[in-house]
Amino acid sequence: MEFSDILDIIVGGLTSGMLLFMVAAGLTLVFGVLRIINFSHGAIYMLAAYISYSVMALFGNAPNTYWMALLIAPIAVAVLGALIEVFLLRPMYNREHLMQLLVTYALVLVIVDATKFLWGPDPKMVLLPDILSGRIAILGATFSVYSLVLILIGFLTMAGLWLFLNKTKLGHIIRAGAFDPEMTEALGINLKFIYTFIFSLGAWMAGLAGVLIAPLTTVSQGMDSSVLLDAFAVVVIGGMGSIGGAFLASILVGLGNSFGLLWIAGIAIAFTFIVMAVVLVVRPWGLFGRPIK
Amino acid sequence: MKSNRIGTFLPLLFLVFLFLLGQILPNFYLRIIIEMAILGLFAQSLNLIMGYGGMISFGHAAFYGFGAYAVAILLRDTGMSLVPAILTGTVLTGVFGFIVGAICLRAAKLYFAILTMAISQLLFVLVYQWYAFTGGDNGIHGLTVSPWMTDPQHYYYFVLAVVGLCFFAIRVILNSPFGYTLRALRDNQERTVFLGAYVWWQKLIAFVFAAMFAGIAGGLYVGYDHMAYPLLVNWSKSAEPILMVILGGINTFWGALVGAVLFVIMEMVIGKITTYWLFFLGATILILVMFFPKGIWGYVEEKLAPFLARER
Amino acid sequence: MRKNTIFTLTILLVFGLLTLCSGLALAGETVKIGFVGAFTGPAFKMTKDAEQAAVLAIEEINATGGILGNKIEMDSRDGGNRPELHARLAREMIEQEKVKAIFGGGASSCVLGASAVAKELKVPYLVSVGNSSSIVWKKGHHYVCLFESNSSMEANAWVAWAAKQPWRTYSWIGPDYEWSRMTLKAFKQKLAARGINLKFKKELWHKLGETTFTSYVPVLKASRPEVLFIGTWGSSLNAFILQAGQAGLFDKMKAFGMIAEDTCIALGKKFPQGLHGFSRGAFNYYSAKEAAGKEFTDKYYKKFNMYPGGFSFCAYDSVIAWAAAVKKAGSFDSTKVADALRGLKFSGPRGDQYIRAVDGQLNCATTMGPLVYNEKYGFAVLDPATAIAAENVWLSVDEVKAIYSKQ
Repeated sequence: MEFSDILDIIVGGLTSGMLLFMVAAGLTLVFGVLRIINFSHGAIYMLAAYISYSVMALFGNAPNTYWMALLIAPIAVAVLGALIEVFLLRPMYNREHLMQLLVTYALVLVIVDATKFLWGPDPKMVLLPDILSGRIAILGATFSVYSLVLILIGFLTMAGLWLFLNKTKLGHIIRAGAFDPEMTEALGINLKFIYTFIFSLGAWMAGLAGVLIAPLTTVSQGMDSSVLLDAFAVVVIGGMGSIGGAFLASILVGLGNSFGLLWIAGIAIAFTFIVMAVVLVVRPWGLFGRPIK
Repeated sequence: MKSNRIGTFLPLLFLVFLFLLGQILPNFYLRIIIEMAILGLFAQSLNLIMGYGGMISFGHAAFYGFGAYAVAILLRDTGMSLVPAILTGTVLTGVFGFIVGAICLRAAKLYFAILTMAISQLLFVLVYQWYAFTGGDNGIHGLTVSPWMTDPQHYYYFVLAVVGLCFFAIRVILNSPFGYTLRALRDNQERTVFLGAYVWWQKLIAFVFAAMFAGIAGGLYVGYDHMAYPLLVNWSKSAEPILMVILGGINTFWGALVGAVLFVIMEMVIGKITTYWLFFLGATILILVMFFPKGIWGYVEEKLAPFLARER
Repeated sequence: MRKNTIFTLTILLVFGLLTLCSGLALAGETVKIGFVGAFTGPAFKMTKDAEQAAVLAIEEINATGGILGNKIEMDSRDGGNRPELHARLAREMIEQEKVKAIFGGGASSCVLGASAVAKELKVPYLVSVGNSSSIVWKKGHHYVCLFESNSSMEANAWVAWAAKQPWRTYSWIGPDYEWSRMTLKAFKQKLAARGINLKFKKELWHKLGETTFTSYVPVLKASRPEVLFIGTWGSSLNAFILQAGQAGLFDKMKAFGMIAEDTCIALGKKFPQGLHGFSRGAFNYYSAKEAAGKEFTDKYYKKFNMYPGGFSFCAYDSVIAWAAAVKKAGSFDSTKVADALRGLKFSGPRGDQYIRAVDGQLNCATTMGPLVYNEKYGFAVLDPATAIAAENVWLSVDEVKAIYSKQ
């Protein structure tokens, strides 16, 4: 085991952590503000990946059309997200939480079968632009450029969300709305718009994650549920609704998995769930969540 | 509750009807009814905490699956016959439910839902990995049950009796002072606490009851299909009783059963027409949630209410 | 509101009645067969490959006048990944729609679920997807036949193949479930029995359906084996190969494993060099070797505008074998057909084959070899493919009988 190997393993762990965070961030954001567990997050992520494939096919399937896909697909699912919020979720806010859960769960079934119908059984390949597909040697270790880019995007997403929520007026309103919806509305702020915006932003982030992972895998059935449960675990560990918590939990899970594989390969597969179990017993509201009774 | 006479008379009539069905229907339909009854009990066990206690559990399959695996493993390893295996399985599920409940009830509302889901996923990972004990991903297949129980008609009557007894027991629980406290907790927790109820214990007891009834349903399932497999514990299985309760009607006693019946019929009918049947299931749920929030039975009950009241 | 509700209720009632009545519908001159597959989830592609081939086989049979003067009609159902649903659908199709045989399959647990029903109702179950050896051995019975090499045979085929290779230090990556655990265990034991002791430097297990391997790849790279044995399949495999390729893993070690057509086709030009794969029915190999193989591949390509996958060959064989068994039995009677299937000799795209009488296992070969990019197809194929005959890798008749007598 050399130093370059360790470096390689750290970068690998961070990459998987950031990929997880990209999915978890939207999930926890929506929960934090709307108090909705969005089961359809994974389905939206998969849908965006399929759309990115079609966008590239439309532009001749050249690797550089990936940038177009990266722009268009998340926006497409963000629009879908806004429509879902306005037409399906908005009528549910006065009803029990259960009804909202059911709506997002039903959407999973509908969206997944729709992708099956529209794109068929064959796995779809999304090509990476040349500039991202190379390798780079640093300190004796070879990394794929895309891995480093993904880590960068993960950190930028975290920074962007933090700045947005803490340093902008809209961000303050959103946080106020999440903290005390009734009071915020009483102050004359239109929460309806905020809710649509956040759900749409959540969908956009799911879409972005879907397009970012697409070149690392083939777009195919089942990619939604595989990621969703891990993302849920991260959100639970970090604390429901806490973006910073999800970020740290993602890094913890990513690196933990890597070194788990290195030292105790046998139980690494259950690592995420073991961490989750411990956190649940000690702090059921997660590392950075607030206990709510 | 509004009319006790009709309330007890109708279910009895229904039982007689089911008894006669067992005499005339071919095995194929009996099996469908068995499945409906088992799923109905599973849904009803969730309804106990969700509809009456206001606790949304997204991990209820943990108990269904726990009961199923307990019975399957007892049948496989101890040579126990089905009835004692189900009884033992129920007790074990109750203990398991107590532990899970004690952990999950530290949180409320959506956090509770997520916690139950997380714990059921943990159990899923365990079941999926533990080859020597649970059969891993393949599960446990080809269990042998006594020849008498293998006959669909006999098993039909057995399930009918067990599910009937369980429904009766749930009814008794709900109509006891404990049941009313549970409802009061759902509707207004602070006020009920003020009246002197031990919230946490009340909820935990309800949770354990729900776990045990789900465990019985799981055990009955093993007696029916002679197998257990990890998907019984998965979160997708946890969604099923929720859908059934919503389909039939939340906050109603018979809704869960009606929902289970409709669910099985829908799965069969739509599945026959298309392999995209999940799409239609999803669409149906959306329509129901948007336009018929009280569910099918809730609607029927509402329409029947004036007649029932008149009878009284 | 009220009207709407009544409307819904009526619809549901009608649906309910339809279900009850469907059992009464009479078949007429067509004979029905059922296909229960996993059209939902990660096995969707394999299932579709198999179903399409079955459709093609039936079309051909019907075009030549059907079997015993009867047209054949196939009905497909989605059992997803749910064993109980596979079982229930098999039962429903047998009891209500009077299908004469069940085809398809899915995950091993699903096949085992449906297989128990086939055994109980005494109807042939011709499995083409899902290959746990339990299907024909531990849980085998008179009515089940398997049209691909079972997991034990495949493991032995790898042993035969690996014994000829110079590598001695290995690493492994595979999905964490029984099939791959058994495959690796058998692989090590069998090679040791041949006096070849391998050193496994790292064994990594991932969850089924995993698509993020960025944590796994560096650990494998750091383990520095001569060769990596890959037990991963489906979209997980696509993801692994892409991510490992990007990180330069295949520059450092050789790799072989369960890399079949679906992955080669999906990755196209992106498929890295230096990998060895296998197939349950390599279309390029069989088109070169058998006239029937070429004919099948061409017809399949013409009809579906794609090359047949390994499971297409298995499913096609299952239908024509059943047709041959019906002819041999002279009737559609399920017990007679099941009897006829045992020991049946027939000729298909994979050449002359037979179903072994003792366990219902088809004697299909496992083909393996280096995967080389092919300009004509636009993806990598086995080149050259080596076929390892079933007779060299399956349990002997006595060994199978010993398993049965233990039950």
